[in-house]
Amino acid sequence: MSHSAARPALQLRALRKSFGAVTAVDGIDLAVQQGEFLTLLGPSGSGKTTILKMIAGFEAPTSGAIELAGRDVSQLSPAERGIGVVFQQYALFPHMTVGENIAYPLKLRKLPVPERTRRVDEMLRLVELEGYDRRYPRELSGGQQQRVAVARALAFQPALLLMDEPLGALDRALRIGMQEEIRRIHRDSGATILYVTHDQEEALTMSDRVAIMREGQIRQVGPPRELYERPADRFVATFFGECTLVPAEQLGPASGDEVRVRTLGQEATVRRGGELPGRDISLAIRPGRFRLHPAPGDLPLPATIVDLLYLGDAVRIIGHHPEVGEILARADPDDTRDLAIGQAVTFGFAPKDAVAVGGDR
Amino acid sequence: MSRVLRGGGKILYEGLLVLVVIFMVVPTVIVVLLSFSGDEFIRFPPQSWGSRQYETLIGSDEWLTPLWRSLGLGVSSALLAVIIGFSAVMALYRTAAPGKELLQFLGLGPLLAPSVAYAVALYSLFADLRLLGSFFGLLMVHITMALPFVLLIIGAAISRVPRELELAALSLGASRTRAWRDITLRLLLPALLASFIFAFIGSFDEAIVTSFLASIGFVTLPVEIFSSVRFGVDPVITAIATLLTLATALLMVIYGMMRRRA
Repeated sequence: MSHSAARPALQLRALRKSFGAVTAVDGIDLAVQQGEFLTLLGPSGSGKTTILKMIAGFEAPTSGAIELAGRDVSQLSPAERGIGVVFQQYALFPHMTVGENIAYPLKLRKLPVPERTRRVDEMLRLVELEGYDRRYPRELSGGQQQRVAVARALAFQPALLLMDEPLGALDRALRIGMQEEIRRIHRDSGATILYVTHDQEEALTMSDRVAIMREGQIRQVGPPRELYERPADRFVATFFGECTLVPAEQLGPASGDEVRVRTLGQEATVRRGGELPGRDISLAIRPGRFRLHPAPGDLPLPATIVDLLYLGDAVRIIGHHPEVGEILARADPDDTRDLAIGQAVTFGFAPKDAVAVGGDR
Repeated sequence: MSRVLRGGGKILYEGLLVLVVIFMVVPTVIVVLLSFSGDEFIRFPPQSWGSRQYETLIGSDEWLTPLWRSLGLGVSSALLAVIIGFSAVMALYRTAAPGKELLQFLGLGPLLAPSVAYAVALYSLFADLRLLGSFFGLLMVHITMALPFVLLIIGAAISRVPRELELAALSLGASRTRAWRDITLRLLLPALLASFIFAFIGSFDEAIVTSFLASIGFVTLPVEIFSSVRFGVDPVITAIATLLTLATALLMVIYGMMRRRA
């Protein structure tokens, strides 16, 4: 993806929205590049849907700017913005067939009928629903309806596609299939997508970049791998994937990416994820980074096994340490044959696998 | 209605069905048969057959005038009730207008008052306003009495139309007016027609309140039937009753077909 030279497809500048005394969106700066798949991820009430509504034009911002390819659209009506929107409940028009639904934006743009038919066929091919144009939405499954909604939103080739928890109404098995489907549609259409979800697994597997939101603010933006491996603070570390937070003390100012800490009675140098405002920090360790038999140079973490969950290709180990609290580890099934609940073990982790994080949880 | 009924429920259901047939359908059938009687007065079974009652009806202003009055009053009051009720529903369900609950309650008010009590109250008011026996007075009363049905039918329909549909249309390039017309209005069309039919039948059939307010002057068909029955039964009534039954049944069939399509 080469999107360095072009203007961003979408640029939000100091975007704010207040409802009376409540600030739902608190100063958002964000750029979505041409052709990028960016996800707003956050717990419910973090302001992500409000941002989407402001971009679509359904809500007016309290202050700030919304720019599409460099043009401020915050004063335009939804129709003038030309942004595609996919809703959680599909919002297909029940009195129109699949074909009529997809042709609706083209009809509004007064495209000649042969052109419309051609485009509808093209869209149905894109979402792999060829031959469904005469059906009514109620005759389709939830997953098929959502694909029609995507086809309709892309039919007029919008500069940006907004998707508001589009898989929220589907059951789990269907959701995973649709994740791949949306990824493929994104690749094949080249559309710029801003996706909203509260499901971190969805964000992890689908996005080019993820913006983690809490209380109306963006906590961290980056590719999923970066967020997972270098979370900026405690909230991002625990919200984006599982981790164990080991209490630590910061022993002096950070030098570059590294910081000296004291933890579990030892001193070590670890990487930091973001700003560390105080001495009281945590080391975030992902489940797969714990070793059941500490290697030389590892920091040891003694624990009691609380539970063992066999997952097939791995075993999830839940441990307990009086100071750390719950420990989440993951190991190969072959290495856990001798383990039992209640048993005392010593986990080890390399300082390079720990990330120093501060802030609230 | 393809519900499986068993045991006691089935007996109760079939018993009720028999009672409905005896008390509601049989009299109607008898009236229809009587309308094809060639006799000079009502007698069952008729001694002779023919279209005599219908011929009398067509040739008599005594009956045709109230029939046209009732049709005119029914159509105009139903049309206005639907326009007023639809506007009220849009305000009640799609805006943040203050005092919505009160407005909704007041709109349903006529359902709560017994017809006779309502008629007595209106009688003195209309007497003061010199509206007794006037078309305009009856029009207002019939609109008021139709409003609860209109509000309930259209209200139930609009709560099944998600707001996102209109937002979706806006995002696809429709203006506010266009989105409202293409989506909300279009999806409410069956409910608008249904509420018109109910309002029309309600007005066309209304005898109690109307006979208080217009037993002279603007006499409608049901009121005329009522007063004619008081002075002995004219067999023409059977022809009128048959035509009314037919018209009402036809409207209900149209309503049923619309519901199936919606």
